[in-house]
Amino acid sequence: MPDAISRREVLASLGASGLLLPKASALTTSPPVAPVAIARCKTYRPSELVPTLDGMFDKLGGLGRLLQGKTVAIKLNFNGGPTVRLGHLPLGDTHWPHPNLLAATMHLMARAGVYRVRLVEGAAAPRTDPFEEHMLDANWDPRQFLSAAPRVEFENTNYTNAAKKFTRLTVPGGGLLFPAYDMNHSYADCDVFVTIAKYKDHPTTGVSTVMKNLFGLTPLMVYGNGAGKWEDNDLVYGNDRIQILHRGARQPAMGALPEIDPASPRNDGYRVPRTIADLTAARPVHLAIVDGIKTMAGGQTPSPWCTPVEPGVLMAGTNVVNTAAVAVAAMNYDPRAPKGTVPFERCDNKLLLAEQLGVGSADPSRIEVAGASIQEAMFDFRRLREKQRALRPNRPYGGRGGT
Amino acid sequence: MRWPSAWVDPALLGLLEGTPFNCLAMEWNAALAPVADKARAAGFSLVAVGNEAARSAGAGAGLALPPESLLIAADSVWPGIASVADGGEPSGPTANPWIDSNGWLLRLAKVRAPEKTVWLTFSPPGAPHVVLIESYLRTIADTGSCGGRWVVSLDSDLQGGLARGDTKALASWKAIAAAVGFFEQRRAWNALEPLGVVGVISDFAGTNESTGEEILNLLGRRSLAYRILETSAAATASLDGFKALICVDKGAPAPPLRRKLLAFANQGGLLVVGAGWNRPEGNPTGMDHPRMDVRRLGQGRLAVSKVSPPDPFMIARDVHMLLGRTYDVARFFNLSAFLSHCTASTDRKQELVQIVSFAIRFPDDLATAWVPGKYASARQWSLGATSPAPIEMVPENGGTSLLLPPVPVYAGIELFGKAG
Repeated sequence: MPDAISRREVLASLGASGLLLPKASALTTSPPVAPVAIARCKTYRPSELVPTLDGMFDKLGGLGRLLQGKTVAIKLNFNGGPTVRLGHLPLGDTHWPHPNLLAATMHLMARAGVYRVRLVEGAAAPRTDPFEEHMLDANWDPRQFLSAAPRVEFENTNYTNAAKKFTRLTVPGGGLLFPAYDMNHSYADCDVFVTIAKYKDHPTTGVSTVMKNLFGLTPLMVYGNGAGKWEDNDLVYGNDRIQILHRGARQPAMGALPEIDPASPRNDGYRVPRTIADLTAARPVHLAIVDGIKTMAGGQTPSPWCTPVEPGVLMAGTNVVNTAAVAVAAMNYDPRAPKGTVPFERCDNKLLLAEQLGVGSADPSRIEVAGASIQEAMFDFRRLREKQRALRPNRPYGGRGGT
Repeated sequence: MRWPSAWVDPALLGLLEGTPFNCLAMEWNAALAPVADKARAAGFSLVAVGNEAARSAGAGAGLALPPESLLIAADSVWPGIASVADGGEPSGPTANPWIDSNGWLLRLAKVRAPEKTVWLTFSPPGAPHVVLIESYLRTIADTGSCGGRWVVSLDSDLQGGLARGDTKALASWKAIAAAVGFFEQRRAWNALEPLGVVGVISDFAGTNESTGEEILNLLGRRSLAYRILETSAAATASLDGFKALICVDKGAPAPPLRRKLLAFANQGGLLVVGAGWNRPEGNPTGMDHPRMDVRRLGQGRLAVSKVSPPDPFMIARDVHMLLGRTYDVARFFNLSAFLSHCTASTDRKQELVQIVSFAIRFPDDLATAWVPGKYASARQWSLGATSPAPIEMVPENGGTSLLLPPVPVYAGIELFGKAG
């Protein structure tokens, strides 16, 4: 039984699927495309990772061109708590990017002449907990990164930290849900912004890749359930963004701009994809890396319904929407699928929303793929999804709920 | 065990056959005389418990008075996730459920009287609580893992069920007896020394009692392994192996102890003291910390609490973060509400990681314990087990991940042959 869909949602869905005319600014030019590199990679051994990544970055024009002498911020993909595993598997084998992949990337960045690397994440940890401690809690060794590149810094972006205030990043064209987002300074004062993430299923937005990773740019101080109840103290953690961003139960705190249309649907299938699309426009990505060597199917964070899988593939691109589109296609999903169809059964398609904002094309037929082809990299998440659905026929795919 | 006052039928002593119970604590009433007579004849020791009148009456009937090691501590609690009036679970600032445990109490008691086995007497919660068998086992494990013993006390439902010969009640009783026997058979584990690089120095008395004890409780909740140093012994105790010392008792320590603590910090240690530490030594580090004035002192650090009295929860957390998880003696995964106790033989040939799980939501989750070392072998004991199960060991992050089955209540992990 499909969820009831309001007229507003139908219109929104049509807009997201391209059936309605996009904004005038996006009409005049086609959404950008840039090559996406795909490579088979079976293990996280540095001896395999480094040359594979090196070859991929070469296909994108080389890292030196992108980041020589620059400050790079790498947004990690630390969703869920650091001590929650899928079975016995380390987090890097399931839902966090693997630490060796991160270290190998940083190593290559160092070789390409990067000036500074800042590892950033809205980590579920108190302000006074060093971000490195959050890594240790997950049994990562932060020294691995300190020695991989020059001037390595760690920043928990849920807080203002040294800047003492959040930086406002505006969505070009006005935004879909919010006109601007307040964020930690690290997202504004980096020269090069990198998102590195697993590809996997996601209960709210269908799939989670390098785009969904950007949802974590929003600091809990401003957009978390406890936002506004706590000021810049050190207790804002252990909660999520359900109330404000998922459900729209209230507006952001700390002086952040309210959403554009308070009468818009209070439904996370409507709101979260728009937030993500907005963020791809507000904080442009320079390099997106998909960790598909090992990951899991069936969810974003470990649950009994998740299955560890080993697609054995890496992807990278300089356009985050293009990269996500290729990744989604390589999951055997249609990256242009409209709401109500796999994998966007109960949500709008965030890739099309970002395309509508002019960030990048979600059409794999327009995107040059370098290295292995999408077909060669294909791993059938769709089949696993259907298998899971068959086990729970009365429950719509996706566990977060929402009204 | 605490003999139920309602069990006046001597035939019920048959329940104790084949169990490790050898002493009956009785709140005396005259109707228990036939039970007492038969128990004596069967070789049981009898101890009078209850209020003063009951103990006096029991003594008059020939029952022994409680030995000194029988700690009738007002602080002891029924272990578990604390419940609140509306049926929900209270949580601390972490949003993690609050755990009631007697572990810290037993560890402190052992420091104060290392030669004694401490017995705790407390009863299961009364109606409307339903006491599950897991709750009994958790209570036995919470006590036994820290070297103490619980005077087993049965709730009225289980008492009634056993008196009626109810099959389910008998199965529960068998499991309780097996769990008690498990720790009885492993008394040697009590000789192992606590691991941990954090020392807690306090007199744990007077105005310092509450704060000091709660720090122990909350360090344990973080799985931050600690060792206890009573103030009276700290000035002469060896500080070898410590990386951090917590000394937040009110007032400044006596000069000899102060000198010793400062030397510890100067040599590279982290010294955390209370706001009453006069004229803090060292230089400010400039660290923006809401609760601590963190100062550089020689090769180490002096952290002076800005709050008096300090919040034990924050002290536990701040010490952990200032010290760093690098010094964790173990890390745990998929154990949401649990306590651990890590000990080792003095020659370090044997290490023991004990886990008591209080979680009730995901009992089927596979658990992982990580230890910072490499070992020749590892094995796991479950409550009541007569033989251990081998544990698969996987190298991870320079140490070893121990792949455990789900831990519904308790796991005792023995590690042998540490390399290096």
